[in-house]
Amino acid sequence: MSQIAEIATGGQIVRRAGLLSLSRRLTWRHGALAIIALVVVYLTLVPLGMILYGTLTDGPPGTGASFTLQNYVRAYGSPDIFRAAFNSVSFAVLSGIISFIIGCYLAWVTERTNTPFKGVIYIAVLVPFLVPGILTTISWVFLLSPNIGLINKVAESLFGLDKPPFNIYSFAGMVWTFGIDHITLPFLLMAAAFRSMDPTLEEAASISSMGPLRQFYQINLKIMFPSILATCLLLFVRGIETFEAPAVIGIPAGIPVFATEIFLALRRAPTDYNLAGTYSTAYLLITVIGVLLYLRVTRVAEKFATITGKAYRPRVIDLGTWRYGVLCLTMLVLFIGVFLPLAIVLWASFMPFYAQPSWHMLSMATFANYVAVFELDEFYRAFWNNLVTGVSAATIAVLLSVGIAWIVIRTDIPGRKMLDIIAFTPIALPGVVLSLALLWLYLTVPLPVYGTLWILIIAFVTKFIPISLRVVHASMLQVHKELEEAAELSSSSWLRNLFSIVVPLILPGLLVGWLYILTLTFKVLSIPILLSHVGTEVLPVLIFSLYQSGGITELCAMGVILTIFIAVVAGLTRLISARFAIKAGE
Amino acid sequence: MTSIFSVRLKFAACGLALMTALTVVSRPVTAQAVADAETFFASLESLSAAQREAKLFEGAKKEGSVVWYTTDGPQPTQQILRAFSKKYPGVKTEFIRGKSREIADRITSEARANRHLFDLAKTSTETYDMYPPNVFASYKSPTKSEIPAAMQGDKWASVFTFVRVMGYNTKLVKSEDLPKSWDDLLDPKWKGKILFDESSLPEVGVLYARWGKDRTAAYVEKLGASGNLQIRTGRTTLSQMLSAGEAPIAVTVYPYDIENLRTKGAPVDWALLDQNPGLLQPTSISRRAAHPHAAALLFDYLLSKEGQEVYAAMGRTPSNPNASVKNEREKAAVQDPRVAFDEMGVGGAPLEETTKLLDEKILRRSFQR
Amino acid sequence: MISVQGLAKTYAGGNVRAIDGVDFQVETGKIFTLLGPSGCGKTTSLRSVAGLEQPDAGEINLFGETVFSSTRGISLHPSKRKIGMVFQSYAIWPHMTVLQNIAYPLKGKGLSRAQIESKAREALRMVDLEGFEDRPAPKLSGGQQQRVALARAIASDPRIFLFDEPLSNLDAKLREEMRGHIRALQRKLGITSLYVTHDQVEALSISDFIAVMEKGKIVEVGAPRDIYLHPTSRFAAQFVGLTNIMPAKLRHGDAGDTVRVDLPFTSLLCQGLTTKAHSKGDSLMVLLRPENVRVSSSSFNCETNEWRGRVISSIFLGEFIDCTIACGDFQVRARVNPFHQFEDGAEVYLHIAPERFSLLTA
Ligand SMILES: Nc1ncnc2c1ncn2[C@@H]1O[C@H](COP(=O)(O)OP(=O)(O)O)[C@@H](O)[C@H]1O
Ligand SMILES: [Mg+2]
Repeated sequence: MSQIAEIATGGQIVRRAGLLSLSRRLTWRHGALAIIALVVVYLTLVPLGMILYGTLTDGPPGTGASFTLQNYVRAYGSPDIFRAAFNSVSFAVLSGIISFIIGCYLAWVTERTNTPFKGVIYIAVLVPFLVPGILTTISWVFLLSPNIGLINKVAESLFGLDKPPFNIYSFAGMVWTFGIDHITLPFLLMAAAFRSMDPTLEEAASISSMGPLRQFYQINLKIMFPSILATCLLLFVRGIETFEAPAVIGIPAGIPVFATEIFLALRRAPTDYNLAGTYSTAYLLITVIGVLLYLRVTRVAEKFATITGKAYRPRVIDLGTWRYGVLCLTMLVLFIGVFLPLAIVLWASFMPFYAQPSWHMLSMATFANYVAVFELDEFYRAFWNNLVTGVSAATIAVLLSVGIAWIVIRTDIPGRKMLDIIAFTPIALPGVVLSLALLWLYLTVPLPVYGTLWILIIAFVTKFIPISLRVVHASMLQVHKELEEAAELSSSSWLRNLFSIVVPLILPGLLVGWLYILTLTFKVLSIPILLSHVGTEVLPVLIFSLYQSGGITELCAMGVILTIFIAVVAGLTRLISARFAIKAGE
Repeated sequence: MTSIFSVRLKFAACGLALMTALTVVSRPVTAQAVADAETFFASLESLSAAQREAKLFEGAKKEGSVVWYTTDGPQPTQQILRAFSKKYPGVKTEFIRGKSREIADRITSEARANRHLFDLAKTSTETYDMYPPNVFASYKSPTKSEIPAAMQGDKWASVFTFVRVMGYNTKLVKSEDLPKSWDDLLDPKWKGKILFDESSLPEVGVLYARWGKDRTAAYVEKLGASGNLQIRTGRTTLSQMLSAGEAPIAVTVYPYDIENLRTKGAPVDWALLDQNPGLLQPTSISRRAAHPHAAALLFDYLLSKEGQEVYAAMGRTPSNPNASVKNEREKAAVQDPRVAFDEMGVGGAPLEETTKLLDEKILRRSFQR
Repeated sequence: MISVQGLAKTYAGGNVRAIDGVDFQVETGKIFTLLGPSGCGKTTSLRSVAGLEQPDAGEINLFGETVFSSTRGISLHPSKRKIGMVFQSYAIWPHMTVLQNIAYPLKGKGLSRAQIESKAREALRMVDLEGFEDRPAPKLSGGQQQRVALARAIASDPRIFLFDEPLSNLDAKLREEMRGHIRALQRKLGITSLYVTHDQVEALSISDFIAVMEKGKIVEVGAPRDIYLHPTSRFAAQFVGLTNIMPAKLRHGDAGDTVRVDLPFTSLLCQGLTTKAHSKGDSLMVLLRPENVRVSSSSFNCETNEWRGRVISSIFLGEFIDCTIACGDFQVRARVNPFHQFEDGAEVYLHIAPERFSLLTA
C-alpha cells in the first residue's frame, strides 16, 4: 500500500518537474509553433465544422435550420452514387498510375541522368500545367475524337483503316486525358525527392552485389517512399475530385463519376449547401484513410533520412550511349503527352474558330484572339490579382507547412498526428463547399476580409496547405535531425536555425510546393468564382467566363500567354533551385 | 561567408514585400447601404425624363461608382459599360460575373448577412424565383416603359432576349434534310448525331408548356431511348464542336454563337424547330443599393435605345423596340410563333417535373448504356 | 567540471528505459569516456548533457552551474550550456562551405564579421584544414568532414566538448590518426570532454577516465589502466578486452596481500590484488587476460601458478597466436608470441605471474 503511494507521488514529482521545465523553456519556438498550429486549425476546422454541421441540418447556418438526416439519405440513398464512386476510384487509380509513371520517369531523367537537354525537358513538363484544364481536355477531344480527331484522321489515311483507331469517348479516353494532363505533380514531387537523395547509398548497394532491380527496390524505393506515397495520395485525391475530363468526356461517353453526380445534384440554384457538404463527406472519409495510411508507413521513415551531413553528394548517373535512347523515349513521351495537345491549343489560338489543321485554315490564321485578350481590361487586373494572391497564398501555405511538418517530425508534442490530419482534410472539401462556408463565415464575422483579396488568400491557403504539407513533410523527413541539433548548440533562436539550416536544405521541395500552389491558383475556378469580388477577380473566373461565352479560341490565346508566363517562372524557379541546391559532385 | 546573412535578408525582404502588397490590396468592400431605394425611386416619378436623367447623373457622380453583378460574358459587359462611361463620365463601373447559380448564391448569402454590396444584378429566368423576396426594388422609369410588357415586371426588365435553336454543320447536312420538329429528331438516321446539352431545361419546359405533361413525358422517354443524342455539358463547346464537325446537328444552341462563327467563315447555320425556348435576361436593382442614383442611371441606360443599340451591335436581340437591330434573323425568330418565352415562371412548366424528366429520361438513360 | 546525478530517461511512454540512474563526474580538463555496447544509453546520456534530450529525472551541473534539474525545474537551452559537440553523423551542413559551417555558431554572439572570420580560420588551422575555407562541405572526404566538425566545435570556445562516436565512420587507419588528433587537441586546449564510444581500444587510448555502461547504468568507473587491469565487474572485464573468467574458491582467509585460490584444475597464488576482505571458502571469479597467460611446450619450472593443458586450436594472427587450451573441463584463451608453434592436441604448460590476474566476488 505504502509502496504504491510512494510510486504515485514520485510520478507526480516528475510530472510537475516536466511541466515546470517546459514553462522554463517556453521560447520563441513554442510561441511560433503554437501560432502556426492555431492558424492551421482555425483555417481548416472552422469551415470543416460548418460543413459537417450543415450536413445534419436542412438550411444554411444561422437560419434556424433544424436537424435532419435527410441529406445523407438524398446523397447516398441511390445505387447510382455507388456505381459512380466505383467509377471514380478506378478512374483516379488508373489515371494516377499513368501520371505517376510518366512523371516519375521524366523526373528521374532530369534529376539523375546525364541525358542532354534536361532544361528543355523540365520546362516542357511544367508548361502545359498552366493551360486551363478545360482546354487540354478539349484539345484531346480534337485529337482523339472518332469523328474529328486529328490523330484518328492521320492514322486512318496512313494505314488505310476504315474505322478510327481511337475513341476518346470511353473510359480509357478519360483516364488517358486526365493522366497525361497531370504529370506535372508527380514530376515536381519526385524531382525534389531525387534531388535530395544520397547516392552513396546506391553505391553501397551496387558494391554489395545486389541486382539492379533489387537495388532499386531496396535503396531508391525505400528512401523515396514518403515522397512516392505523398504523390500518389495527392494524385488520387485530385483524380476523384476533378470534373473536367468527366464532364467533357465522361458525360458523352455515358460514364458518370462521383464528381458528375455531385454536379448533377447541385446544378440548380441556389446551391444546396447541405447536400453539397454531405457529398463531400465521402471525400473526407477517403482522404482521412489516405493520410492515416501515409502516416503509418512514413513512421519508420526516419531511418531513411538521407541528408545526414556526411558524405552527401548528389550525383548523376552516366548513361553512356544509352542517354540518346533515353532522350528519344523522353522526346516521344513529351511529343505525345505535351506537344500534341499544346499544338492544338496553339493552332486554335490563331484560328477564327476551331477547325482541323489544313492549308486552307492556315490561310485564315489571325491574331484577333490575342488582340481580344489584350483588349480586355479585366485581363490585366485579374492577372495582377492572381499573381498577388497566388504568391501570397503559396508563400503562406509553404511557411505554415514548414511549421506543421516540423512539429510532426521533430517534436513529441501530443496530438501532433492529429494536427497533420487536420491540416490535410481540406483537400477533401470540394471548392464549392469550402468557398460557400468561407463566404458565409466572413460575411458574418466582423473581419475586413470579404471583398478583399484576403478571403481568396485564406481560401487558397486552406485548400492548398495539404499539398505543400505533404511535399514539405516528405522533404523534411530526409533531413537528419543532428543537422538541426548542431545548430541548436550554438544558437537558441529556433527561427534562425530553421531558416539557416532546415529551410535551405529542403528548398527544392519548398519551391516545388510553392510553384505548384501558385499555378493552381491560376487554374482553380470553384474558389474564386464565389469569393472574388469587384476588383478582386482572378484569372480562372475570366477564363471560365470566356469559355462560357463562346471564346474557345480566345481562351486558347490566353492559354498560350499563360504558358509563356509559367515557362518564365518555372525557368526562374529552376535557376533559384539550382543556386541553392547542394552543389552536385561530378 | 556572406550567404547565410543574405539568405536571411532575402527571406526578410520577401516577407516585407508580401506584407506591403497585401496591405495595398486589402481594400474591404465597405459600402453604406441606403435604407430603402424604393422610396427614393418613387420620389423620382414626378420628374420629367430630362430632369430625371440630370438628377441621377448628378447623384451618380457623387456616389462615384456602381456595382453590377452579371451573368453575361466579359466582352459584352466591358463593351456596354464602356459605352455607359463614355456617356456618363465620372461614374466608375465595377462588375463581377458568374453563372446564374453563382450570382444567386452570392446575392442570397450577402442578403442573409445584411451586406448590401451590389447595385444592379442581371439574373436569369431559371433562378429569378429563388431570390429572397425583398432583395430587388420595384422600379419604374420612362425608359423602362418603352420595353414591351411581356419583357418586364415590377422589379425587373429584360435587357435583351435569347432564343435557343437548332444548329447544324453545313458541310455535314443539307438544309433540306434538316429535321423540322422535335418528332423528326427521333428518326433513327440521326443515331448518335445530335449534340445535346445536359442543361436543356427550358427546352423540356417549352414542350411541357405547349404539349402538356403526358405527351412531353412520352416524347422525352422516346428521345432518351432513341440513342440519337450525344450528351454534352456547356453550350459553347457544343457550338464549337458542331463547327469542328463532331456531329451534324446540335440541339440547342444560341443563334448568337452560331452567327458569330458563321461570319468568321465556319460551316454552321441554325434553324427553328417546331418548339423553341426564348430566354429573357431579367435585370433588377437592389432594394438596398448603396449607389441608387448610379444604379438607376445604369439601369435606364441599359434599356434605353442607345444602350440597346450597343447590345444590338454585338448581335444581341434588344428588348427595346425602338432600337435598330443588326441581327434581323434572330429578331424574326423572337417574334416567330414557334418560339415560346418562359415569362418569369408565370406560364412556365413546373421546374421539379421538367428537371426530373430531363435527368431521368435523358441523362441517367445515357449512363445506363 | 561536469557532474551528473541520477539521470534517467525513458522512451516510448516509459517502456524503454534508455538510461536509468546515471551518475558520474568529469574533472576539469579531463577526457571522460562512456563506453558500452550499442543501445546501452551512451548517446542518451551525452545528449542529455548537451540539452538535446530532456531527461525524466536527475541533475546536471556544468562548472557549478545547474543546467538541468528535474526537481528544481531547470532546463537550460543547449546554446546556453557553452558546449562544442561532434556528432556521429558529423552533421556538417551540406549547403554551406567549410568556412560557413564553422562560422555559423559564432554568429549572433556580438562578434564582428572580421572577428568571426579570424576565429573560424584559427579553428581551421588547428585541425590542419587551411586552404579548404571555400570548399563546399559535401566535397570533402570523410576524414576532412570529421575535422570540419571538430573545428566547428572548437571555434566558439566551448567549456565542454561532447563527442558521440566521432570516429565510427572512418576506416581503421584514419581512425587511429584522428584519435591522436583529438587527444592532442583536447590536451592542448585543456577542455573538459565527454566522449562516447563502443570501441574499447578507442576508449582506452583517449580517455583519462572511463565509465563502462550496461543497460542504462554505469557499472564501473576508473582510469583506463585500472579498468583494463583490475576490472571490478564481470561486465567490464568481459566488455573491455578479452578475459578468461573462471570460478574459484578462496583457500585461506584474509592473509594480507597474498592469497591462494583453488580453481577446478589447479590452484593459484595471487599477489597484491585483493582490495576487499574475503573469508575462507568464498566463491570468487578469477580473471585471466589471455596476454598474461604464458604457454610453453616445456615446464616453466615454477612452483606456483603453473599447470598443464592441451591445445585445442591455435590461430596465427601475426602479432600473436590465439591459442585455446583445454584445462580440465575449462578452456583457456592465451596469446602467445608468434614465434612459438603448437600442434593441435599438444600437451603444454601454462603459467601466470601471481600479480597478473585479478579476483572478483562471484
Ligand atoms: N527517440 C527514441 N525513441 C525510442 N527509443 C529510443 C530513442 N532514442 C534511444 N532509444 C532507445 O534508448 C536506448 C538507448 O539508446 P542510445 O542512448 O542511443 O544508446 P547508445 O548510444 O548507447 O547506442 C536504446 O534501447 C534505444 O533503442
Ligand atoms: Mg549511440
